[in-house]
Amino acid sequence: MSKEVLQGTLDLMVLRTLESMGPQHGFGLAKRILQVSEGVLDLNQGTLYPALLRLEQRRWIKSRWGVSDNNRKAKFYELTARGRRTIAEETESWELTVSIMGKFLARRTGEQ
Amino acid sequence: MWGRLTDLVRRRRLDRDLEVELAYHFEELVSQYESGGLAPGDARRAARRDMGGLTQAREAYRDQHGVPALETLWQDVRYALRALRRSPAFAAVAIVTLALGIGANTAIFTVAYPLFLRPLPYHEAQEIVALSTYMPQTRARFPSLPVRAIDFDAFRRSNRVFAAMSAITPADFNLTGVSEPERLYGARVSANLFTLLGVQPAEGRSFLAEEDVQGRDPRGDHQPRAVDEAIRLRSVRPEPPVVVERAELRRCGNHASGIPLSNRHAAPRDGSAGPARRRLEADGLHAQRADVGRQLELGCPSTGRTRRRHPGR
Repeated sequence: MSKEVLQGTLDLMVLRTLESMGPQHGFGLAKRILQVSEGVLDLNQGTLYPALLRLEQRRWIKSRWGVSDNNRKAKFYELTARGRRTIAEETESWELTVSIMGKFLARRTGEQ
Repeated sequence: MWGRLTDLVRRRRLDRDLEVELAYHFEELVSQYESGGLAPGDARRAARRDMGGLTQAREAYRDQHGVPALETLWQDVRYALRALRRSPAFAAVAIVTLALGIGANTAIFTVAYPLFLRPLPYHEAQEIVALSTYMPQTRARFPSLPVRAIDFDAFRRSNRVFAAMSAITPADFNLTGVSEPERLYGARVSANLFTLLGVQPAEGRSFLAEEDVQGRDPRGDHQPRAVDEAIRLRSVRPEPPVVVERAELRRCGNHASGIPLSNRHAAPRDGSAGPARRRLEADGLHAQRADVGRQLELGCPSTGRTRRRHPGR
């Protein structure tokens, strides 16, 4: 699988992760995404932090400074109401895409 | 977009925040490696390797929080201003040159636009041409001559070139019988002019075909109704009928019309044709016009004249 993460899919991944984990800092998010993707998606900082800023600019998440488990100052990101709505919409459209793609790819497998 | 713009304002803080975040990220990586069993020094090295493209990360972050083109533009503007401040003499020369250039251009365009560029406010204005005549013998001194009414009639009768032809000549009128007498600068035109131009009077009626004939007064009220109406059309005054001093009108009436048929809002003061643009277009009709001219010479409708006119080329 390509390590290039499509912008739209990364956005949805981050939003979903925040939804399931609650407020989280960038490092925690990267770690979690790496875990869930079973080691495939090792996000580079140059991808992760701009993405977080982008989501914040869209008012899908908001950030505040807090203290991490090991007592360090860290920026925590959390979902906004708008972000939650976006997850619902994006999930739906993503599922549609997957099901359509599935049909095409299944037919191709059948032909072979 | 709005989010990006506000970020533009607070970008210094954003850059600082990113540094803190990256530092935190780094420390977390280090502790992760340490708890994985690496020696502290090795853990930091490993973390540093993981955090590889930090500059790249900062760049990407900045691209996201700015409006890139706007920022580059702003940098350019500031650079230009600094450079100008360093050499004030050059700056002054440049500014004066620009000011003169812009001023001259504006002035010329202000004149050229209404004269040459602005389309005529008429239906299918590109079809309208102005015709005038000249005599070969006097062409150097009088490049363009008015046309007598009788010649215009001949032109119009033998016309196979134009959809319609109309005559117009500048004329002055005295407006009396209103609170304040006024000198009006207008034009005497043939009845079909408004139809030709495709315009409708804002108020009242336009001319009747019968009114084209000299001395004919279809309404029987001995008033030059057409002129009257024309004045009412253009007059901003609310007063209903206006009386035009008859002596003045008679003086005008004994002249016939010139041919130039299109003009701007007012009649050409010199009786000559309109702008060159349209005369140029008319050149394409040169052959046909020459034909009209020949017919005119042969038929010579202007009787009693020894000197002939040579309309067209």
